[in-house]
Formats: sequence, structure tokens, C-alpha cells
Amino acid sequence: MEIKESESKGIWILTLNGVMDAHTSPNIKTKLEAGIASGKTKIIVDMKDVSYLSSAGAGALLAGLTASRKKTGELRLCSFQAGVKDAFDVMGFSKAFKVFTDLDKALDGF
Amino acid sequence: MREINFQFPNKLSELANVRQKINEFIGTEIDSLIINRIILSVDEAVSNIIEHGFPDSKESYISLNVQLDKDKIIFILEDEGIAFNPLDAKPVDMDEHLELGEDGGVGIHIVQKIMHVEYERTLSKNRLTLTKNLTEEI
Repeated sequence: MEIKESESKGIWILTLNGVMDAHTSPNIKTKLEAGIASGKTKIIVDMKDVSYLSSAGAGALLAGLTASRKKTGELRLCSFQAGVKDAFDVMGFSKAFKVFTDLDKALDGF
Repeated sequence: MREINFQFPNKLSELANVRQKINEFIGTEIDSLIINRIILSVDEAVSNIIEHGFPDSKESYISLNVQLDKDKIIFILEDEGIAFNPLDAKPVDMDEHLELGEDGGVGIHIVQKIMHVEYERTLSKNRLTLTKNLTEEI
């Protein structure tokens, strides 16, 4: 799992590349926890290069969402691949998140 | 009917290999969306065995038999971890889970949502059988 970071108008953008399973997802969870603890509470996770997602990956994102909201922030998701979005929906995680089709839309009004 | 058998170490780093082997075995015989969901369910089951079946971190092997027929696919997982019947696990209320926002604890719930699950403890092994009827709506 590769994690690229950038910042735009005070929003922390994480672009993930690879698979998010029980082996790789602890990395993203740790990254989110550290960022949120340091005050980066407005977050967009760009999923365009994520080719696989299991409940461990979705759980890491959910933990990030919960931690950011506790600090009055938010975690948005964007640019899902179709198969990954289907897994996210089937697992029942979609309704907890604001999901956008691309990064510009996720940035809009944040 | 076609089938494959293989074994893999009880390490989470093996998950990607397991998914790839299943994917290659199934090929293009099943709709890709359905394959994705089936592989997700097997990945969740294997992750659960590795994360919870070996509290002493003992090195072990998990065996997987996959049988593909015209109308169904069957996965039989056998491990030498502690006895664990996933059918005894408390049902997950997803709304409550999302509200609490905690990581983990929904893997078995997802397996049961996608597959028909049977569990058997034989001698020192757990045997988990996951079946998908390919003629039914997923």
C-alpha cells in the first residue's frame, strides 16, 4: 500500500495505491490516526488506485471518519473503482460516508 | 467439475496470493462482480482464521479446496487453530457498528451475507465450508 499525501486549502488529501486488506490496512489506519492527532481533521481519501478493499480497509476508513468527527472534522472518499465500490456497498459501509465521484467534487464545499 | 487444492502459511501477507490463485482458477466462467464478492468473502474468512485462530502465534498451514461446478462454487478451508464456530458469532447490527465507528468485527457477518456457511470441528481441525449457488441472485 502506497500512500501519497498532499494538502489543498487546509484539506489533507491521501491518495492510496494498492490493495486494502487485513495485511495492508493497518498502515492506513496508523497514518490517519497520526494525522488526525496532529490536527489534520478535514480529510479526503482518494481511492482511484485502490484495486481491492476488504472489511479491514473499510474499518480503517471508518475509524478515521469517527476520529475526525470527534474533532469536528470529516473524512470524505472519492474516485472508487467499480468493483471496490461494490464491495464497499455490499459490506454495508457506504451510508456512513460522503462519497464523491472525483477529487474536485470532494473538495467542493468542504 | 473442476477443483484445486493448495496450502498456505497462516500469515496475513498470504492473502494477496490466495486471492490471486482463486481468481486464476475461476477464470472468466463467472461474472466479474460475482467473482469479486465471492473472493471478498473467502478473504474475510481466511483473515478471520489467521487473526483469531492462533492466539499463540503458532506457525501453521491452512488448506483450501475449491470446487467449481456449473451451478455452484464450494470453498473448504481447514486449519489447526483453536476451535471457532463462526455460526456462533453474535450477529452484527451494521447501523450500530457504523455509529460506534470501530475498526473490525464484521468479517464473519460479511461472509455469511455472501455465502452459505457450514462449520465442523474434526479432530484438531476447523473445517469451514463456504458455498455459493451461482444460479441465485447475489
